[in-house]
Amino acid sequence: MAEQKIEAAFVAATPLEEFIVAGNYQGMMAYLQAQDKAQWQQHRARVLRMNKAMEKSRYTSDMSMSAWRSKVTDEQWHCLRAAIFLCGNADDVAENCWHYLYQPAELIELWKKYQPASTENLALTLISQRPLAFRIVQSLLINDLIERPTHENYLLGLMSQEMRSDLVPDVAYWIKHDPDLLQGPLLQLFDIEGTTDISFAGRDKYTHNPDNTWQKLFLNLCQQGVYRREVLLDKTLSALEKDWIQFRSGWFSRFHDALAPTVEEMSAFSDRYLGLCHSRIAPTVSMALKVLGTLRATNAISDTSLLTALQPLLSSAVKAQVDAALKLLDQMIKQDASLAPEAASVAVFGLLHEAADMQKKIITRLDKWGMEAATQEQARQLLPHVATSNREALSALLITDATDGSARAVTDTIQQLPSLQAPPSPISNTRALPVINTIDDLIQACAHAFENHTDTDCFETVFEALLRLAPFSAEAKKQFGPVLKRARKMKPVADNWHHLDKPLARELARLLAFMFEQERLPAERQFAKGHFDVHSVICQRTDDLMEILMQGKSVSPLAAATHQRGYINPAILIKRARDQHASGLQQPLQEQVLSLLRLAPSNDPALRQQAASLPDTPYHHALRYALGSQVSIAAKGKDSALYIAAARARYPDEDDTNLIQLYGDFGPDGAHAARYRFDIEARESEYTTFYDTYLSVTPAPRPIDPVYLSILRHPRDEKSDGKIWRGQDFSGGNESQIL
Amino acid sequence: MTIATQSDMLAPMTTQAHAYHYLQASALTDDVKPRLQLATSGADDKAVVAHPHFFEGLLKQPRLSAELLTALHIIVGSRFFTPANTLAKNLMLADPVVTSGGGILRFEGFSSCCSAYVRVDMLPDSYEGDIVGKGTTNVDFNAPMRAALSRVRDAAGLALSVGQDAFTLHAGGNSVVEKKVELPLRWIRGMLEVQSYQAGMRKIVEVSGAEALRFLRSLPKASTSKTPLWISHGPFGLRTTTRPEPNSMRLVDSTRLRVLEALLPRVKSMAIFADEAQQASAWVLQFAGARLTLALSAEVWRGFSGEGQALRALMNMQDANALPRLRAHLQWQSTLQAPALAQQLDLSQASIEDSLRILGVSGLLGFDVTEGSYFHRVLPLDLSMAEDLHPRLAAARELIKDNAVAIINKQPLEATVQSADIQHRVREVDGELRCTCPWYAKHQGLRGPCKHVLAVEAMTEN
Repeated sequence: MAEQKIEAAFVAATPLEEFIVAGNYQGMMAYLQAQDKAQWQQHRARVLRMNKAMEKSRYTSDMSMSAWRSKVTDEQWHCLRAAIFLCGNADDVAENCWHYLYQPAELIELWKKYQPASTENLALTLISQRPLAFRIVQSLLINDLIERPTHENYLLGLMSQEMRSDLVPDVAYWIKHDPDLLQGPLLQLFDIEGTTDISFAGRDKYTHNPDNTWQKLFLNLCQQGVYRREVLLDKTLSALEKDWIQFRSGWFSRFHDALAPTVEEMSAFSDRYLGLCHSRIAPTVSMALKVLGTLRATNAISDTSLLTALQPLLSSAVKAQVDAALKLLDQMIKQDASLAPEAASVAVFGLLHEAADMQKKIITRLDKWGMEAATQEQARQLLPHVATSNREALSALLITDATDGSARAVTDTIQQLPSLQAPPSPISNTRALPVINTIDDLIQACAHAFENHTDTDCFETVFEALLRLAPFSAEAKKQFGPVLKRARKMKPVADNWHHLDKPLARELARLLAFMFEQERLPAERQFAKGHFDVHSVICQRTDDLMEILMQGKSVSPLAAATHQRGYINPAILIKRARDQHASGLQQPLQEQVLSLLRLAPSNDPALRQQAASLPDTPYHHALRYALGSQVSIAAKGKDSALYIAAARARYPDEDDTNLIQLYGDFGPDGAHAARYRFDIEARESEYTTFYDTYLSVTPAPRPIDPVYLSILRHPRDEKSDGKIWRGQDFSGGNESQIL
Repeated sequence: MTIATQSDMLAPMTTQAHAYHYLQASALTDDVKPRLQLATSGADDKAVVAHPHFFEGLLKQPRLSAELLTALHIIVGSRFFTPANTLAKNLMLADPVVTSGGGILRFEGFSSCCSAYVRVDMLPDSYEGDIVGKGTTNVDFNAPMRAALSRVRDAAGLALSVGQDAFTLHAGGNSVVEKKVELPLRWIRGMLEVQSYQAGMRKIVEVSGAEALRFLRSLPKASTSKTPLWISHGPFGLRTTTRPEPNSMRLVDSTRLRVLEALLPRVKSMAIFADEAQQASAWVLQFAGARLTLALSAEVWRGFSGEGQALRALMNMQDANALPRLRAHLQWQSTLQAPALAQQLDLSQASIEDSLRILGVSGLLGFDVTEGSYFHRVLPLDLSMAEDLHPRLAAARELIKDNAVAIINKQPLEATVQSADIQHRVREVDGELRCTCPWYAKHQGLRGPCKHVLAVEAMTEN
């Protein structure tokens, strides 16, 4: 976090400011009363400046460094809010409405007395900015200072009011002082959906006392005769018809149930219940179905209209809805068998349901009710989508019920499965990384790498090309201009805290700074050697590449990937090793270890033969071992890291028994392959149960030299107070691919 | 009602004030038989008919028509992405647009997050009645009307009026509805650019309604805006994977498709279109006599705006004499085919195609991805600032004006462009112009050319 700078102290420069600083309200009012409104407006800029300074002090950790220098007193706030109201405009008051939320009485008193310019359109300005301003606006309204706003935020503000409160005006208070709310805005609440923060559903869900819910309020008002039941029912159905999201619609279907309309009341709206069957909201449909069942049982709706309404339910994904609809159809046909073909034409869409048991129920009914030609055709089209266990039964119906009297062949779709192919080799040609040979291509690749910091293959290609094509002429440096400009913004310097989440891009910038501006910047301290983090490996690699460059050799880095996801073609690695040894290049140890870990799996005797002809060096020995040759492994010592890496390449997921005998337990993915275990521990507390997940690895990791990359990537668990905490996680984003 | 939108967008935005004026609210009445009376908006332009009257007749499939219009309304009122620190409030930014021409009634809408475009085409087979007028205007969609649509039944029938005849207009009893909105420029840009996206799409797959329904029901219920899915068609039908496959199509946030689910049991087929660069997709539901097209942007946060799809065409606009001739030829045709137009106007097909693209992003044409052709439709917005919506275009013209472009080689094309204190290099590689600027490096041409490439191309053309 940036260090807090000392701000210049606020110094009152006008009498008004002096009054505010002194908290002298009476003096300030006497001063302003001696002026006219035009003069008040001239104070506006300075008042707002004071407001800014005083406001900022609320969020300053060390007030002695803020412009206000100390905590603002209540008297000073009192003076300020009056000054804003009198000297500012409506926008100023609205933007600072928090001042007046708990003291609307002050605002009202000043309004009545002075009617300053800020009162023009104040109500609309206040409420259009935030529903929270309802309290202020409503206070103005009940004091007959404004007309009732029509902005939707006014209704949202009303909806957000406390139902019961001893501290602030609650809904009962507002109704008492503004009875017109009852037949106006309160009913209008049914017409608005609300927001994520303010809705009937949200407000009632988080109200602990069920007597203090909106549902309870409306039911009580209904009981008291304020609202007629049919009005509330009408409003509820209107809200449900709007298909608001399930959370918000759910309040209205629950309210409907709580209202418990009689059959007579529901009959008057039977058409609307039928329409609700088309709702996209499952609880709404369930409610409608329940009602329709009741209405049907009392003959309050006709079967034909019900049949049409049930159509979307039969193709619903909700099993309960399909079931309920089928039951209704059953009842209808029991009473009037002539409806059977029409019922079948509706029920056939139930075959779309993925549950086999549901399809079976549908087929049973289709069999029982019979299918007309159009229904037959629909069933035939749906046959391929029916579960295999049901196809025969459905097919039998289609042949039996053929209206033209001739057998109709029903063919199953023969599904051709694709032939299984072996997974591609990690070094197949399709996965080869491009080789950059021109400056223009290299510049473009660098630019791409900076903007696509998760494209690790691109970074590999760029690093490889930079070292191979170095050194660059002055003309080339000029061409690198666009890329170097970007690098300057990305490189890690003391005051550049950006792009910490893009380690590859930062390291590319560091490398370019070294190559083109002869500037050797250190790695980020937190990623420097000694810290076990994938970033530290990337930083170390950059340092190693710089070391190679300083030797004046234009070569591909030993560990440069040749294929996607970091794989190296063994043939190319052998050639590199040979050529670079011949040139006398001193390879950094991490680069050697990395090259072995990246070796693509191979069991090619020809490669072993090529490797056998390499000069005898510890690295070449390890390389031969990695390729599967029989070599004598050096005793534990400075070359152990090479043999550990070679063992991982030789036995990717298995223990290396040779190395275990020689080196013993080095840790996971040392001589022993890592084995993982996933545990879940339940931990009870007073209120709930916590489930802690642990991923442990064997052998257990232990502190080790960072050059042992394969072991380093396993997090170390450190025991403390008997608890096992997760160690630093090595597995950062895509950077882990770099290994 | 004025709706503030300033806080809705990621970056500070300017907006365009827009007003709707209806003589009454759209409503579903039930006097003699159910009638959906859609109110059309008046226009400020005196040359255009105020409150046009487009259609009188009966809809042959009332329930389906009601579902289609409901789907349109849902998308128009939807927001699939809310920028951080803004109100998660669904704002109806603009009323849907209705176009009448060539026997087709088209209703278009755009989500408030700019990531979904929807169009319902009522083809001649969907109605019995008369197209009494041609043109484009806004049509009032309101919540009570939509609620009433849920009660429409096939058995009861449904008459449709789009606008009113002069007699009815003057019969009195109207209650004027006026709405004022602030349309973000990002929204306007998206509404214009989506035509270009559709013009670049090709059909990936077409499946039956049942298969489509199965597939949609298998999609994640929660928003997948952070995890792209790839959709491919295998032996068992449509499926999703988390990695690209040959002939697969990229999709982000499948909740945008949820609106199609209720329509699929009635659909004849569903076709999926996508452009080659996987920047957008279109989902077309084909019904008997009607069609619904839902175009989705590549990312919910990105919308369709600022993608530069037609920048090249716009850059050469001043030089194209085909443009004014084609514009004069427009007569609310429901299909505009480049070969036929080229023949009629005696111009090259390439010029016609460029001109069509320009007119599309200028708001004067829509694109029907199923027909593969443009249709004449004038978006009822202030289109005079259409070109200002392309900052890259303006920047490219500045570069040319400042003599910043130097052509080094013509075959293959190679040029330098001095931009501020940096010299960028534009090279032709495998037929594509590449640049060294961060924009090109990030997007690799998938979001249209950068200003440097545009400037070089313009210099080369001249």
